[in-house]
Amino acid sequence: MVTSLLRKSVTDLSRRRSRTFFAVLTLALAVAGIGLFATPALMNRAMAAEVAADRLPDLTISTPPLVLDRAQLAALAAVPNVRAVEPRSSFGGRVYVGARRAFAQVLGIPGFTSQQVNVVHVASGAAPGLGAVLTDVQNTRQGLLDVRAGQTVRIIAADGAVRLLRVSGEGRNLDGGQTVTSDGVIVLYATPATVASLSRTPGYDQLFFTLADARPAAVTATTAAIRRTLATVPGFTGFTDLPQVRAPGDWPGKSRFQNFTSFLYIITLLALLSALVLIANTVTTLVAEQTSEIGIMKAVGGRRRQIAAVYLKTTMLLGGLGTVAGIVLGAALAYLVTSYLGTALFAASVGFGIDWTIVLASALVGLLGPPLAALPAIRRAVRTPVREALQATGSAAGG
Amino acid sequence: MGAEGVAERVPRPVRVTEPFINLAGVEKTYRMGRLDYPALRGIDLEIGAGELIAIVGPSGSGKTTILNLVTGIDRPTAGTVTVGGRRIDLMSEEELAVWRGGHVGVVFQFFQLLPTLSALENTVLPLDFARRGSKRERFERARRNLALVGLGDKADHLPAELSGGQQQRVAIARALAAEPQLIVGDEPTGNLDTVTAAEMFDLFKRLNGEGKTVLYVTHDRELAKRAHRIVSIRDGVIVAA
Repeated sequence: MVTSLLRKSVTDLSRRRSRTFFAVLTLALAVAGIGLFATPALMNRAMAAEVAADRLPDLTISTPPLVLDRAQLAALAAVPNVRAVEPRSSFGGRVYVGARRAFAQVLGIPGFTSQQVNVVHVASGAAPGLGAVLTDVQNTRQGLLDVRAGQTVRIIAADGAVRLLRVSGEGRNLDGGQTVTSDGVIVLYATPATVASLSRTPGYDQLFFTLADARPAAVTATTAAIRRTLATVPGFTGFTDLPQVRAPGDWPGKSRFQNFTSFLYIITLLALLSALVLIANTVTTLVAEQTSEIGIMKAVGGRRRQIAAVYLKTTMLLGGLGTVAGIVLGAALAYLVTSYLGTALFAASVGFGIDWTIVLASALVGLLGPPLAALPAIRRAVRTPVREALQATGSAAGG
Repeated sequence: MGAEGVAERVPRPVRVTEPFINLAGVEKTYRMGRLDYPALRGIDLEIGAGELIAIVGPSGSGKTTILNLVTGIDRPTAGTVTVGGRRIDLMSEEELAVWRGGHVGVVFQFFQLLPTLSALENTVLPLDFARRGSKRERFERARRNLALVGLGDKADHLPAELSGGQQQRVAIARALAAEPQLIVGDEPTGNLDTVTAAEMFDLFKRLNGEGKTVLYVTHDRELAKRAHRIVSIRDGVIVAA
């Protein structure tokens, strides 16, 4: 058995369903908006899995094309602090897309089945043999090159001749995908021999390392040791670019994604602000509509505090309903946005996840927002003199 | 209404030694923009405990203002208002709310029930505000009051599901909730048909018969005649009492 005061708090919502529905919807949308703040955490989580799957390098060294044999690669792998090494060759040229020529990069992967670092996954079709390529999945998604397994691509080799390369399937790699989405360059994966046939320059020009200790001092020492090891390789004249070190938790395209989410935050904050104003307006109207009822309650013995409690409970109930709906909606929204961005920007599959910090923040805003927004209106309403409050419907105004 | 004429026909009020309600030199002025509107111009009125009093007068004469002052819904601009030995014109809003909850039952012309609460919940409302007894006791008392006004079977109905007469009965049951000594009705039958109005008045009579002081405003000459005493007011001044 509940008191009539609590019943009023509940029935004000349950017996005015339409208004309650829209008030809850407003709140839910506001709370759901907060859910978007979970996007970076969810993306980080998803990308951490991608980084692990791709075994992204901690250190990338660029060199002139070097022909490295097994022993030399083994010597590099034996450098203290090095866990694994992967060489790669590359050729930058142009590919025909219809009659148009577009920039393309063909990357030579020594062994598709035995990659140790910066793994290129065969997403569909088969690993390419000599004279064949895998097309990065992002080529099609970004609308740069739409080719399927069995079709051919025409590429202009270093000697100016146009070579036909058969497409064996689709490949996926975070680094390669980022080159497509960020630079608008078509990325193809092939064997080193295919790359050499295009560039006319055999050898690897990039070395990827995973390290046991990726702290700056250890990386510096390892880089020096690698330089010493490479010095014994014919043709090595030095690094052709500064060594690239991947910071822990970093992944290709992260800063670009962060720029995008900053923009998303601004929109979300504006939406949240609008929703909070809307909530304040909704609860203020709700309380203002009840001025005469407040008068009645005062006339039958209701004290300010008791009457204020009735409306605070109503707004808390509204907040509770809006929060539950908003958190569910926000989790779904965050998942959809992250999933879309993960697929569009990184060709990464993003699993459903919950960021509990954001859930907590959503719950705080959803539960505390409505009562706090309603408080000034409630204070005003319960301070209205009884006669004035009753006059809202004409009572106590007679002769 | 010819209040003076009516006053001649009323029975003599119950003899009382000390007034239960005492309005002394009461003035009430409403400010409307830049204009002051005097609703009461220095009235003196004594009402004994157990009296049944009708207040009559033309619209805008100050009838409701007297009721509002007696119930503490409004405050006098000047003068004193004493009810049951307490100077209610000196009480704070909060004190008045508590006092009303325990000592006065108010019945309005437009019933003034809370639309989202059932008849029973409306009736138990003053008891919940006053926190009198356990919840079970409050609901039992509210059910008894509903049965008293003949609505025992309508306890779970919402006001919108009741007729005007039934709503007014609920309002009376609510006014009786705290077993107050004073029942005040502001044109309690004004929105009812003749038959229902007569039934409602019978209820007032019955309550008065049980010792409660009943004070009501009416435009109905016949209902006014049935009071012990008629207080006639015109232009903020009592012209007959």
